Amino acid sequence: MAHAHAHAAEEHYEMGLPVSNAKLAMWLFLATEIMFFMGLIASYIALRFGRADWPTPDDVGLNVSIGALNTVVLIVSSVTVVLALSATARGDRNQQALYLAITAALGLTFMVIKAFEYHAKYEHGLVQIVNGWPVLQPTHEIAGGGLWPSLYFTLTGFHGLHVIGGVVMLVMLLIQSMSGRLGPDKYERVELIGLYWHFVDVVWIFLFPMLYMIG
Amino acid sequence: MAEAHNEPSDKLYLTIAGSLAVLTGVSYIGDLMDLPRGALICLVLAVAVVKATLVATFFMHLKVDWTKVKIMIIPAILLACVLVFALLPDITLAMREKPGKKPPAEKSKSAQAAVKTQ
Repeated sequence: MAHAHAHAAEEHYEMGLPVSNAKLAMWLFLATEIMFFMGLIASYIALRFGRADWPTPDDVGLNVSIGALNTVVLIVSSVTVVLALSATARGDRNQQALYLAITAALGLTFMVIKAFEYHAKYEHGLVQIVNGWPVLQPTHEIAGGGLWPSLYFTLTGFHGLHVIGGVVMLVMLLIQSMSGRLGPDKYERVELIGLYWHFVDVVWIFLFPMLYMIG
Repeated sequence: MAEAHNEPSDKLYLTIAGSLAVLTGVSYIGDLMDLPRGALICLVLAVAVVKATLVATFFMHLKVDWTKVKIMIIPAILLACVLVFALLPDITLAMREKPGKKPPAEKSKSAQAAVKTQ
C-alpha cells in the first residue's frame, strides 16, 4: 500500500514545464519578441509624447481606412490559420492546404497594401533617395522633421519583416501539405507557426491605433 | 482528434473573428467621430487590449495553455511595462520645455524686475 502511494507521488511530479520542447522554445522566442517590440513602442511613446510639435495625419499622408483594411486582412488570416489547424487535427488535407494557401495569400496582401502605403509616403516627400539609398528625411518642412518618418518606417518595417518571415513559413507548410507530408501527427508544427502568426497579428493590433489614430 | 487537442470549435473561431472585426469598426468609427483626444486614446487602446486578449485566449489557445506557459509570458509583459514606465521621466522633462512656455528662471527674473520698479 505504502509502495503504491510512493509510486503515485512519483508519477505526479515531473521536471520542467508540462509542454513539449518545441512549444517551450516557441513561447520563449515570443517572450523575446514581446520585449523587442515593446522596446520599439516605448521609444515611440517617449519620442512622440516628449514633443510638442507633431505632424497631423494629412501632413504625412496617413490613411486610417487603409490601416483598418490591413487590420481586417490580418484578423481574417488569423482565423484561416486556426481553421488550417482544425483541418490538420481532422486529417482533412484538402481543407488544410486551402486554409494555409489563403493565410499566405492574406499575408502577401498585407505586404502589397503596405508597399502602396510606403510608395505614397515617398510621393508625399517623406523619404528621399540619395545615391540609390532611401534617407528618412522629408523633402519639405514638417513638424518634428525626420522623426515621424524614422519612427513610422522602423515600427512598420520590423513588423513587415515579421510578416514576410511568417509567409515564408506558411508557404513551407503549404508545400508539405500538398505533398502529403503534413498529417495529424504534424499537428504541433502547424500550431507553432500559427502561434507566431497570431503574435504578428497582435503586434499590428497595437501598431494600428498607435500610428494611425493616436498619431 | 480535435477533442484530443482541446481546441475550440470552428464556430467559436468564426465568432471571435466577427467580434474582432466589430471591435476594429468601433475604433475606426471612434476616430471618425472627432472625439476629444483623451477619450479617443482611451477608446482605441482599450479596444486594442480587448482584441489582443481575444486573439491570445482563443487563437493562441492560452485558455487551455495559460497555466503551462504563464511563467514565460508574465515576466516578459511585466518587464515590457517597466520599460515604458522607465522612459516616462524623459517625456515629463520634455513636456516642461514646450515651445512658447517660459522657463521658470525667466519668470523669476521678470518677477524680480517688477519688484525693483515698485
